[in-house]
Amino acid sequence: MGADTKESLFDGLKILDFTWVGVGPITTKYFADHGANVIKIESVSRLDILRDAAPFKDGIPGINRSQFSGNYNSNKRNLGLNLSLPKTLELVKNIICEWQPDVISESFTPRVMKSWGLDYLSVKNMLPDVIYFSTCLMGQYGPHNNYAGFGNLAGAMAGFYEITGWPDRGPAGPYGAYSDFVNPPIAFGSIVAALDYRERHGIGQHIDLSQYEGAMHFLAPHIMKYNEDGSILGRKGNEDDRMYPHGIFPCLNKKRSLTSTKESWVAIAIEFEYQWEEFSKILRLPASIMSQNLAERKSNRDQIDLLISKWTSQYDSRYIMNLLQSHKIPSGMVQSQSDMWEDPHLDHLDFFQWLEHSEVGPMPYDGLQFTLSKTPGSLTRAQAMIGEHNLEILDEILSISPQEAANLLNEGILEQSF
Amino acid sequence: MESLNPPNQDTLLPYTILDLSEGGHNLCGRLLGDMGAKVIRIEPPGGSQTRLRGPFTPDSNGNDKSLYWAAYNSNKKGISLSLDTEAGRQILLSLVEQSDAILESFQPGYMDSLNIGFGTLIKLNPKLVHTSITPFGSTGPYAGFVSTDLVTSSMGGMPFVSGDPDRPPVRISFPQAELVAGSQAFAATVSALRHSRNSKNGQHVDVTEQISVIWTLMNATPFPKLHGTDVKRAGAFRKKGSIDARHVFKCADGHVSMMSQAKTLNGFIVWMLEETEVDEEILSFDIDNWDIKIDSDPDGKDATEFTRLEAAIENFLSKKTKTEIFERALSAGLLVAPCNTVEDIRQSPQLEARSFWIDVYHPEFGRDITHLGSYLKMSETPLKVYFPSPAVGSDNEEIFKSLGISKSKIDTLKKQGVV
Repeated sequence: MGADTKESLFDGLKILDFTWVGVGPITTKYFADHGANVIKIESVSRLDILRDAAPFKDGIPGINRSQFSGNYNSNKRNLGLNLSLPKTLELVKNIICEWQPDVISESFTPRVMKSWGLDYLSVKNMLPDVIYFSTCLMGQYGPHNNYAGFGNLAGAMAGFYEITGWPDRGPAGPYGAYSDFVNPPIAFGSIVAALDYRERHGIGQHIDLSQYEGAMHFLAPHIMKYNEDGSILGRKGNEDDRMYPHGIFPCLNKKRSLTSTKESWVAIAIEFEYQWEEFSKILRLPASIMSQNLAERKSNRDQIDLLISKWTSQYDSRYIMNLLQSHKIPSGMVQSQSDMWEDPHLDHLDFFQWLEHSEVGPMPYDGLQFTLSKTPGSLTRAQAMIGEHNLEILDEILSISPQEAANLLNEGILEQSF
Repeated sequence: MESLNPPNQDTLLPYTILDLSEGGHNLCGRLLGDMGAKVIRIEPPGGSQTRLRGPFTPDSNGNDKSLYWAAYNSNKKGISLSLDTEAGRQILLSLVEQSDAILESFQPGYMDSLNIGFGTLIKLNPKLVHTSITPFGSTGPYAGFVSTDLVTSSMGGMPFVSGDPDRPPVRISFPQAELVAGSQAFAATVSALRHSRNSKNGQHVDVTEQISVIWTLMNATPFPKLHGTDVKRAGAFRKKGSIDARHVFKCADGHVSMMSQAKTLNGFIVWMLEETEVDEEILSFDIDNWDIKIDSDPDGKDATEFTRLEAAIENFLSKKTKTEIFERALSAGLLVAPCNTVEDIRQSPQLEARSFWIDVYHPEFGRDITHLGSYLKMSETPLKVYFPSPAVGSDNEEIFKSLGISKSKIDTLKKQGVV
């Protein structure tokens, strides 16, 4: 099938995007990557914290150099505005009335959009069938609704810290702001569902995503278990109820071409007894150990883990992965980021992409989250600088001339980071 | 021809979905079901392997009452069908003719080998959305790999950056790889369903666990190309240039997580001054001008002062409870939050106020099970737990009858091991 026969998922869909940091921008990125017209409103005077966070182009900090925010904002145009000025809010309301976006998205604490007169009910007066997506840490209402924070804090509250690490030590937490990354697919899907509904019934609506609540669904059975008998999962290192051996074992140090990282590990998970049989043959484990069932092996874990580690530390992690996989034993490299850049499978899928940033040149992007055969998305435009499309957008929507726009910039209504 | 009862057109998603996926991939169909889609969970006559996933209810007889099953298969009808039999495959094909999407997590190539792959199904039903959820995707050098949560998480880079630096990398103790893939599958499937309704064109959707895990790594992946470094695991600390900033603190009854930003650090000094003596020197620190942004590289002076203040906060927090600390965070706007256990979560007044807990009667268990409330709140079309997870084949009669298969025929198929 030629590229010209491909259709776009969201051709013609218009999104006015007030979101910042993680959940919101990743949610609207799905639309932007699949053909929607997304205008992101951003500010220099009230900077998205991620614009100021590593990694940076060439490792050098700078407002237009961060790929932390870059990765979440491909394919969006950017309108730089200072929303703390009343005249800016008038401009925004004109844009809403003239442009008539299908979706408005925001990720502030609930008081913020209200204070600007841009909350759902206010916008609904201008656009009766708008789909208005709100997400914040704790949800739009409730006693803690205005608690502001980041995804690592919501991840801690949702229970992820308490269950990541070793039983004899304090929580290590998953790397990063975990709740920021489990919520966007569900947020995006719910907006698409709301669009589907609107196309059939002509009715818009308000979506309220509490990132704390959304994240908990990724632990639902464990939370339901507590509801049943009060038991708490805790930190289990790499242990698993159903499988043993089950762990991450040291391999020969290895040289990477992109970084100075040396350490190397392999993950091995024995799920079925026939895999255990094969595995113990490959390692030439003593018959007395080979004959042990799951429960016996588990009670013997220290001894067996040591035997496995002695074996794995003699070899390269890729060698072990390929060897065990050829015997249908689940195993894989514990990949560093540099390993993933050289992963032949991700390479086959063309996962990582490079896009040309207007000021700093080529930047590395994570690829799309999924592949659609008939309406594939694509990464075409790097993250825009703040206000990069001010002139274009104001001309297109409000017929504002470059001279008028220059005045708005002087008044501090428009902002730009270049 | 008899037909399946169509789903209610007034719901958010009036689609019929065949769900043959397993494990955490079941989250995809669960979300579709919560939005009103008619989801038919198809499992082998002997029962799905997902039923063997713990945790189990305390009155479970071995592993017959899986909460994992209940969590991710509620809002689905259940039928049993053996795809190993020709009769079973024929029934599947007649279901596909009348459905909008099929979800599956078989090894790549398995459905093709039974002549029920995407190529066959899309000819039968050109509007069909066929979603495949697998560890590594349908094609490529690792497509045939056998995998588990630990293996795909590792290949997706999460354990390498998680855990204590002096011990091996760790995964999250509750398996995540299948679930994050299930949620991405939901995102893709809803999009493709809408497109199919508008264009009459179905398509194949490919979702991989590895890529789904990579999308949880925050800012890590560009580091090798931009800084020439790998992000590494740092336990209770997060690297800020030369500083190892503590992000997990011990408190009187557990742990809290904190982000060391100026406003929060200043807020802690205010709190400490209300209750205790604070070192004069600490009070003289110019915190607002410290260079301690995320991943900044603070100079020696800022780092030394930061470490001193951090030690004072650590000592102060060790005598406070999670609740006391969170109440202060709420009133003073501090970036600190409790590392909740489920016990803490159950006592959250916020969740109470948002009616987060829902009791649902499960006939299979003979009593109510307390579920989590909806993933998000939609003002016009609230998400609901409409009905509990099915028992093996509990909706066989209804679904097969609507396909025109008589009761006596069902009995015959049962004897033949087809249903």
